[in-house]
Amino acid sequence: MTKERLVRVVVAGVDAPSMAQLAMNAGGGRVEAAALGDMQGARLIKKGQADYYLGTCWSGGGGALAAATAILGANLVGIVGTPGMFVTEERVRTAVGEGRIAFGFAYEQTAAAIPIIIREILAHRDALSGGKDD
Amino acid sequence: MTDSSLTSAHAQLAAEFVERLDLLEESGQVTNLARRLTELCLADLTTALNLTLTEDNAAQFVTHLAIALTRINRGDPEIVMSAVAAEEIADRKREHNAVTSVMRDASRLLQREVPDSEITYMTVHLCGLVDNEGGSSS
Repeated sequence: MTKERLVRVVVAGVDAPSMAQLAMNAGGGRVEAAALGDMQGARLIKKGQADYYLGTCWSGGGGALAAATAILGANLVGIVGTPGMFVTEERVRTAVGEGRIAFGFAYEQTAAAIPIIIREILAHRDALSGGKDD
Repeated sequence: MTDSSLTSAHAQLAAEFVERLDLLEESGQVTNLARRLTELCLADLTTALNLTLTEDNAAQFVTHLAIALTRINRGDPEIVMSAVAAEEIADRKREHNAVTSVMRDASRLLQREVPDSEITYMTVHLCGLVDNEGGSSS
């Protein structure tokens, strides 16, 4: 039996250290998270040294994912929450299922958004590993 | 504030954030006009509020400003106001006035009004870096 590798998450944006702690708490020991600058975090993803990127800004409408979009490409990023659009499991599940690996949302939704995103990432990973066993 | 001090501040800020602004402009997320306006607005704000802006303390603000100015430049739909953000800056007249003044100038160059929601978001980002820096003048 091989040990499951931790999901490596980088977080950037408003109050990133608290976001990182929330992500680790939500991951239940399956997630490691680090607060980094947006360009540094996105470059780690690009180099394969991290798996997922979470970004916040106050509006959720651009700044949260601007560096990630530039470095990773628009097809790998997704805004999942803005002040006018609350983060939902369905929206995150769709984005994760599409292969997106960088998620942006409004800072005011952080407490609700991060557990949803981490849960959906882990469920996606479980589904993929389950599929391999079939 | 003299023209030469503003010019000097502009040059320093353009150099400090060149990598970030290049990345945003080259990826098509920021227009050239918005980029140039971002640099000018940063120079105005740093001189008006006696701030020192660096990649370490102001990256989020600079990115937000460039993206917001691009939204306005492109005539995108007005962004939804956040009640939380508005509440956050309710007592921050100094920063709000500084942003409003700078955006008044920017709107002439953009030939578009800058919505209150955009000014609110710019102000809340600015307040965040002012608070973190802890070195703003009175």
